[in-house]
Amino acid sequence: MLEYLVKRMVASVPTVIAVVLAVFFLIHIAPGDPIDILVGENASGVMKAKVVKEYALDKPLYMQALFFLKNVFFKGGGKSIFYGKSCFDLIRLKFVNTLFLGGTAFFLAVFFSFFFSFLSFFYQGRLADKVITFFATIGMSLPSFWFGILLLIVFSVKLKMFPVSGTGGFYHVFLPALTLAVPMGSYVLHILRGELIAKKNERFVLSLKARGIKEFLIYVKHILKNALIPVVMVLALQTGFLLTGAIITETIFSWDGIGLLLITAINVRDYPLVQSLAIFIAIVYIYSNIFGDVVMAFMDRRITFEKRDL
Amino acid sequence: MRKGIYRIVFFTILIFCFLGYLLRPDYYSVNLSQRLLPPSLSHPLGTDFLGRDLMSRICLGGLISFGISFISVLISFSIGFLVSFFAAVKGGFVDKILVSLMDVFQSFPGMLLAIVFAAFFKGGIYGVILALCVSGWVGFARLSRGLMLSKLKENYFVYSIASGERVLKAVLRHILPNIKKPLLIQTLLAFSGAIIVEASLSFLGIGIKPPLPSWGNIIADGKEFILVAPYISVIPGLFLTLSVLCIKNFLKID
Repeated sequence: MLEYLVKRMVASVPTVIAVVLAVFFLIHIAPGDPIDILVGENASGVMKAKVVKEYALDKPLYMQALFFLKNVFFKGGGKSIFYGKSCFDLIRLKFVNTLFLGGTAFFLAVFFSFFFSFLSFFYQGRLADKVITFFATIGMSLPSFWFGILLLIVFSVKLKMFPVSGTGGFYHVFLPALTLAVPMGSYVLHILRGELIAKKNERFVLSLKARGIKEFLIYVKHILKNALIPVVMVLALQTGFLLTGAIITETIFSWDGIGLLLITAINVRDYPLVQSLAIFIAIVYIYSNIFGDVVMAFMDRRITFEKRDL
Repeated sequence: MRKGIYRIVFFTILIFCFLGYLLRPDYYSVNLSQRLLPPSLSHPLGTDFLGRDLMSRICLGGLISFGISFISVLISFSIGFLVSFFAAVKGGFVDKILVSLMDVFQSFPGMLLAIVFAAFFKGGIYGVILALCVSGWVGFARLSRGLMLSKLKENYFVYSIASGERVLKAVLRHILPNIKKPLLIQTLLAFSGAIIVEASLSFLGIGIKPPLPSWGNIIADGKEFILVAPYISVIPGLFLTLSVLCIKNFLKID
């Protein structure tokens, strides 16, 4: 178990470095001079000289890459041009809000998807099941930016129940969290329902029934426990969806998180900040996937043995 | 659900967009006296904040969305297939390098990769296609590498190589037909994903640049006017959701 965790952590280090290097190469393959991209074409000579020094742009490419790595890991990703602060400090400040939004969305999605998938599992093949799966199928293909606007029109403009935008407590977080939760929840619902139905028809259920175990206990201790394993994996993979969905949702609802920061940075052409954000989101994504794998290994010990020689 | 309803709806949307594009070619004509009109006979889907007819804009926007997504899925399919071909057939060191390259690309959530690329390449049609390809090829590469590896040991492939066929030709003639079903499903999923990503990029203002319409930027325009004219963003979103839904379930018959 611990061995598996350590192995995954060690194996992630080269990936993280490769991700940082990939982001580093972005300014070199993008059209235009890297200096112009970083500070804008109309920047003063002093400013340009400063950036050349800060990013070692006058040195050969491998030196620049080393400089970039050092910048990211030891100097907080360099200075944001628009905000004038260290990029990672800025990101850390905003990430709390994104975490709050993502966490609320996660709980909403898990709660509703579990509730409705149990409902549709128990009424399998009947009207309730059909209605739930129908809406979940639609929910999976909802583009989050459009759904957010729909929610705004219905709940904020027509019913005046929730604020249109802004950052704050649970009152403010509800609509953006719902925007994120519906596509994710629909997806989880499909997976969980499918798993429950598949596990119900397996032979161990028949044998448990033959032994006279109570129906309730079979459902909770055997069917649900087995069905949860792939669901946990899916939930861990949804972190990526939550992070990228947050970019769009935060823009719609002016939620002051890293997604809005990314869009602001793109709009004011603050490319060091864009790079730092890309690195940050990728790293969060990598480690949340590892976290999901480890939780899954904890639930299903077979994985630890199969993946021992990673 | 009736037989193949998803396909019928998808082709209806496609034909509607095409007909609308041919019959109402006034997607740029600004008419400030007819701003923000609700749907009526002369403007079946209303007008936007510059008095442009929304129906023709939505139709053209749909064609642009479909076209861009289709092209980028084709490109990412080809790139992914080529990469997986080299990885699976060459094996060894080449395989290791290519797989770690895929790992790096998969360490970014797809949408983030697309947003960052579109931002660095300043959007526009080519920027969006590039962004979609960069974020899309790795899914194909990973899937077809796995499938190909499982088929390379099959007897029919070994015999065809032994009888002197070129490897690429043998893969195309014997392996591709055997793995086409999962690849087709992946293509459809990638297509629907590409449509959503393209719309999101245009919505964020780093995709298709106005005055060229796209479902994404029409919705973004409408967002400023949800108090007076909610239909501007509701209608293109409806088209978008329906087409994504239908493409995802394209193969579903029951």
